[in-house]
Amino acid sequence: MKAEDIFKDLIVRTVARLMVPFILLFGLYVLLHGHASPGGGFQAGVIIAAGFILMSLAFNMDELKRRVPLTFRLITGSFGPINYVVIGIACILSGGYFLQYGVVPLPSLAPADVSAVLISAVEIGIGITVLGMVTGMILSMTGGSDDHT
Amino acid sequence: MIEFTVTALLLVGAAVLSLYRTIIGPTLPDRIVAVNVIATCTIIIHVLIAVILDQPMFVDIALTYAMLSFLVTLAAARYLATGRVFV
Repeated sequence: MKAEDIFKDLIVRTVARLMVPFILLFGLYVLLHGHASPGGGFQAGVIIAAGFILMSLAFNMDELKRRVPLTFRLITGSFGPINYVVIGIACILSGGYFLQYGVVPLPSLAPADVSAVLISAVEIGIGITVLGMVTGMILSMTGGSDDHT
Repeated sequence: MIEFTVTALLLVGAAVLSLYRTIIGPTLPDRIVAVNVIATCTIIIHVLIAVILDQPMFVDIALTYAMLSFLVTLAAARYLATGRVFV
């Protein structure tokens, strides 16, 4: 980066540095409050990925690749399906159908509370997966990725 | 409550006028600014709908819309200035 480039996008960089933490916080709010307001796992993942895109717009793709490396994208991208299948199989092993949350014997929780906890766990997994995959898609489409992911 | 409805209708008119500039606008900066104005009107209309219907969840939608419209305007302005979106 040349010396005059530092001051070229000064407003954009400052606004992005202010906005990105609040976008990530808003994504977490949408993720954890999705049962009572519009939102859920997918929307929260897209909002958090939009925060990453804003970071890559204000700085550059190398910054995004440094903060969201390939191993992070692969691990987060595969966490959600594994989480989903593990919770579904746990419901089967507890004597119910696939994803029949109420039968899982979590200690000191009523069946309705068990459903709420496990649905939130599935939503969090979906959000983490969408966050990793959307960021990887942006890196692939813009050619900023030096590998085929 | 009627004043919020009147304000929302006036903002709808402003958005339609900006849509005219988006379609006709001879140059690319005209279109970018017009789309930005439409997004701002839409955000304020969402908040007014939240007040009119007494449904606070519309404020969440307005927040998301504000964030995404900021991203769109930033990307379009970067494309206008440098010819590329990402540097």
